[in-house]
Amino acid sequence: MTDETPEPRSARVPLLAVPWLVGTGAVIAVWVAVLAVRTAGGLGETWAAAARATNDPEHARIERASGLSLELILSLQIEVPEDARLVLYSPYGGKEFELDAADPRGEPARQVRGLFERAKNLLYPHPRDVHFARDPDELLGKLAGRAPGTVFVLDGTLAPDPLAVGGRYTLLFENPPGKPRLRLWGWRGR
Amino acid sequence: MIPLPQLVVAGPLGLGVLLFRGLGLRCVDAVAYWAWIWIAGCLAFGAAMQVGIELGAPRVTAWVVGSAGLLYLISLVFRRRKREPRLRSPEASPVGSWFGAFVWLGAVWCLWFAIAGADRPCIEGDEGNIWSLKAKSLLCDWPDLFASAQVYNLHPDYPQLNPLLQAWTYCLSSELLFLPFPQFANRCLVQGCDVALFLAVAGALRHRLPALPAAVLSSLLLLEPEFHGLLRTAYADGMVALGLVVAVDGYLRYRERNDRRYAWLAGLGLAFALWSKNETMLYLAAALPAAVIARLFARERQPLAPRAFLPLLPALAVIANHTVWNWRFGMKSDLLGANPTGKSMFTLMAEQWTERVPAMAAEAVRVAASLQHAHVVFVLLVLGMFLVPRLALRGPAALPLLALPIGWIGIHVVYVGSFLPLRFHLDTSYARVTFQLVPAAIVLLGALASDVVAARRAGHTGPSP
Repeated sequence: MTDETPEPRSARVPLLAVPWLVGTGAVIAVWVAVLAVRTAGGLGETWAAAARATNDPEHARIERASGLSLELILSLQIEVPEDARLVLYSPYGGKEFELDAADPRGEPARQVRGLFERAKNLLYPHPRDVHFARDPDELLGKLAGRAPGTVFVLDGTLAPDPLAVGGRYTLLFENPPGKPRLRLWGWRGR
Repeated sequence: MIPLPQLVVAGPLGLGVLLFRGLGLRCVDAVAYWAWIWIAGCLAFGAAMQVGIELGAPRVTAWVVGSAGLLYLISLVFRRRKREPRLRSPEASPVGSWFGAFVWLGAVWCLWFAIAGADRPCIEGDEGNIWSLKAKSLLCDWPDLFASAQVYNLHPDYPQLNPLLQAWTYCLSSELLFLPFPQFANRCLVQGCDVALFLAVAGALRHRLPALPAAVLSSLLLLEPEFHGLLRTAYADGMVALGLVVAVDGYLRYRERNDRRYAWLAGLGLAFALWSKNETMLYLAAALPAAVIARLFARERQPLAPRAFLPLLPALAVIANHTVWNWRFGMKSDLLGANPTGKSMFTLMAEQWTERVPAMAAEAVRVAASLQHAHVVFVLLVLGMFLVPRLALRGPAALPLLALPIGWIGIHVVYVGSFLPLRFHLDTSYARVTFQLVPAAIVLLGALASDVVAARRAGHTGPSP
């Protein structure tokens, strides 16, 4: 398959070639040294993660990362039909500041979005249609146009009162004491 | 049942070996060869999976039907090419026991990070919101619900190779007791691409440099935090980087030896990168002006024969497949208006240019100078192009050397036209996306340094014109 003669190497080397070569070597050496020190500083975390990855059961790793306990996941699989809508609800605002990672006022909204993404991707396709709501109005929007029995709300409200936004609900599951307060409600209509 | 890692990994490797035998490329580089067969095998597997899914084969048998047919075709190619001369041993790249030990340790290092990744399920960030979600959708929504189910995907228009590779792992895995899909093992083949990335870089550098500088430059990759993150996850950015490195290395070997088999290797690398993530289209576009400029600078301009473009066929096939796929399912890019503002990247660019360009420039300088990243290689490479222009722009590496900074600038222009708040977009993706070019830049840096040393050894010194 060889079809042409090889191209000759360049004929002349400019005077600045050697300084560039030496400078490049020095910069690379410094960067490798600094990166090596920084990497060494993080090896403990990687080691611990590798140990957890090989020792901890899958459901424990899933619960630690997603915030959803095995019991809650099982309840969601049993109670929520595949074509239903699941809404993660946490009425603590912050959506105006959500995209500025440095603004602590956006932290509640970021937490809801994070939980929403993890739950959506973990449970897919059971159900597919997952949303989040960070205030009562947003939750009402998610209920609009839906038939009773087709919307389920994973409620992160800290207060012990029953969920009453947009109608009546049935409590289907509640995380046991010692776990993050999350309750699963089935919407029964207005 | 947990999927058998050996079986998951052996599939692409076996297909890759056969495909390479078909191309007549045997193990001429004991390090890079593993990366080459990995990308060839993954491409073949992606095609097999797509065929299996299109045919509506049952979940577990989709891969069997597709890959068996492909194996047969490859064996036909192999038989046809059997009598062609093989590469002779003097062409084999040196490795050496010292560098060989370094590569083994580096590969184990990469695997260790990949294992650590199984600490968290594949449900967060792009790997959860885009890649694994589409892989699941390919299997459980196909065909009727697939198009409508993409509303749950953050970037439905992204290419299919990553989801297809994950789908292959899902096919071999049974359901978890309490969830529809496994949540950890699906990363396996994508993480394999990141391990292959290290092997591709190490092999490309050792081909051109002595063991010590090759090892030091390869260490830049091994120590790069973005690379660690990619090893632990199923993001597609490492796949893009792998495809680009193989494309650059293959192109350079082709120019060094005028052996068209390496041009095909480069073509496979480009196809792999194109099927991995959309940014590769930008890099391909950057290669066009780079090719024109490189040709203007070239010492000898040989006539361009149509045959010279044949190795681009795999890349063109990927582009056609991807375009038809998106058209068929009505998937559009957020850059072309499928975003909450309804405005295209170009409209937003015009509106945000004055506000965002200074911020982008500041970010570029900050990351390129940061001791926390290996992005400084871009600076060293551009500096080299200015300080040794004859070697850089008239040598065999001129095309990729010019394409790389143009592509790098192109990434920044895309951020200027992004609909997302700039700080948020930069914080969540800038270092990772620009990392796609870092391994190729490391290889090009090694190639340029090698050319400088070779020219000096030949005694050709003198003032720059």
